[in-house]
Amino acid sequence: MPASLITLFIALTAGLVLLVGFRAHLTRAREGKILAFVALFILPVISVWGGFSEQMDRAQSTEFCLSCHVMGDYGRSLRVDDPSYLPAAHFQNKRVPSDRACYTCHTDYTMFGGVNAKIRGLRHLQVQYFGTIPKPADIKLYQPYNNRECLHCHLGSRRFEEVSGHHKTPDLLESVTSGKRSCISSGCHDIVHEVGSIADASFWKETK
Amino acid sequence: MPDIETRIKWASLLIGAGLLVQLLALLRVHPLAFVAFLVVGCPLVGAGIVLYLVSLVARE
Repeated sequence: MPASLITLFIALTAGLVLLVGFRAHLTRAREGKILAFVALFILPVISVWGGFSEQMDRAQSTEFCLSCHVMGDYGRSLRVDDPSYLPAAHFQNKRVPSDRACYTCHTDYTMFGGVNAKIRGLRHLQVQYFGTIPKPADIKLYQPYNNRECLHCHLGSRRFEEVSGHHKTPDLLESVTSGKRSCISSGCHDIVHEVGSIADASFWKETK
Repeated sequence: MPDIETRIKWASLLIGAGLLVQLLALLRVHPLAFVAFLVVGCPLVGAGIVLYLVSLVARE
């Protein structure tokens, strides 16, 4: 549902809720009781559900993730003019959706991956406003990057299965898919955001 | 004013305030807006709904 429609729905609901509140005597009649039930129960429940859905959707957007200043360099790293930068290669070649660039790679593809990401986000918010904000280059993942997040998209694709680099040794592909060998920290795809050296990078200018 | 109407009035004020917070939270794409929606807006609406439901079953 479009955000504008949800906003309009919530605004209309709020109007109806306040009307019932300030004209509470209307609820003495049967029709008024039905109106109160719709205005004070059904419509607010739908509004909360719609708002929650919209907020969760927004929380997955690149704009949302980059709205904190400390993430700015990570956002810039998506536009580095160098295909060896893993996030840049994914972002610029639309291997990840532009408006979901961070979330696509940084959510755990598990049952509660999205929920866990939101809980971690609350911790980030606490640090942002009440803690000591680290330098962008000092920000580390909570745990080593799991191959599962790469394989969620790449596993089974022809290029991934057949590229010569994945057959340098007979067991390389198997060790990657089983998680024994890391995609990004085994010396293969290890140029990731590199925000420490981003000041020296040149950037891709997207043609609209 | 009968008790039920007083409770309905309070319920509508709580729900209205919660919905207002939700509307404001939709104005910006920002983590604080998300938190305001979740921590302020939803509990206000929830409390209002509960108060309304209580008013339906409570004795005058």
